[in-house]
Amino acid sequence: MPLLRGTIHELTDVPDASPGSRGFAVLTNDRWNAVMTAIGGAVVRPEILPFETSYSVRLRDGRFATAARVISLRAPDAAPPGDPSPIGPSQGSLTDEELDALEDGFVRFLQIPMLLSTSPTARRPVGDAATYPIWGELYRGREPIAGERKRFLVVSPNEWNQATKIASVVRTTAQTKADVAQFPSIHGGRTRACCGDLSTFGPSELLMARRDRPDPATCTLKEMTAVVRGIMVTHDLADAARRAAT
Amino acid sequence: MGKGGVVLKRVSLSIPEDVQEAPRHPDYLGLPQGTSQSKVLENLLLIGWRTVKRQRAEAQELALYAAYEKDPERVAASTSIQRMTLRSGVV
Repeated sequence: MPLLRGTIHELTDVPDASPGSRGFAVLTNDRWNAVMTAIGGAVVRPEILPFETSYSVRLRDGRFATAARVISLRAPDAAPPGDPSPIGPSQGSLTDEELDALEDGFVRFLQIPMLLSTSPTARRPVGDAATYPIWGELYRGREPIAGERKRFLVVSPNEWNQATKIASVVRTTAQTKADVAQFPSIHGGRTRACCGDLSTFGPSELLMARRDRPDPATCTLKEMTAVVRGIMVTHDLADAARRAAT
Repeated sequence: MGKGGVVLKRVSLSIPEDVQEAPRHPDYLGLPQGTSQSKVLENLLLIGWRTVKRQRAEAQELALYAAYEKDPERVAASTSIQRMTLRSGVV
């Protein structure tokens, strides 16, 4: 049975976490969840970092669902034997208010109001830009996929990336040709961003050295706007974006 | 002239039997009791057409995702993304 948007599932076998303390609040839309074998959602944790509060919502049970840690995991019935899904049994659902607040945090995290404004302006990287993943730039993943180190586009804000060294990214692919919002074209159509596969990686999972960077390594503001528009579809953020604009 | 200055086109049409009860229940459409039959039917047309468009868009979206799921790289990519995510300690 497909997971439903807004439900919370236990994350199982999390190292150094007590059983049941971590959850996964499903955020990808229900068309995606009905068909796809990997699902997107926000991590639910008992505690968050101080600068994570504006992207998070405190739930009735005292835990926090945080849009700064939206991840993509294999659906429980679709994971290959060697890589079981950590998505466990249901822990209930977000209330409408909690879901709205989480979406609002996600919209802020993705800088959607700025990108959808009439004159978007990217903020410059803060501090030493060589030490953390930069918003709007592409990095190769450390782990090869189908024999190749794939490119990931950073969509999380620089202040967050700098402070935590973790970054939310979407994978890119040259395989998908569909010319639709969910797979926006970047680099003149040579590749597309897979918005529904947004996930969050730690510092060791992206190759930061200059010699490892892809060429071109940067997306334009127009491309970044198209990418967040795609995420708005796959993660159902259109209503939240409208709320942010009013 | 409709709401917001939109010009409404007037046509004569047969109302299916099932729909003939609709004007007695304007509240089902969020309209106040006493709303005219023509206003109820006008709203019904609008809702029906929007539903058709939404269902069509959703069917296209499902087909798009189904095609993406068949991408030969897809399984390897999503499994790898899960591994990278879990190793990262973001959970």
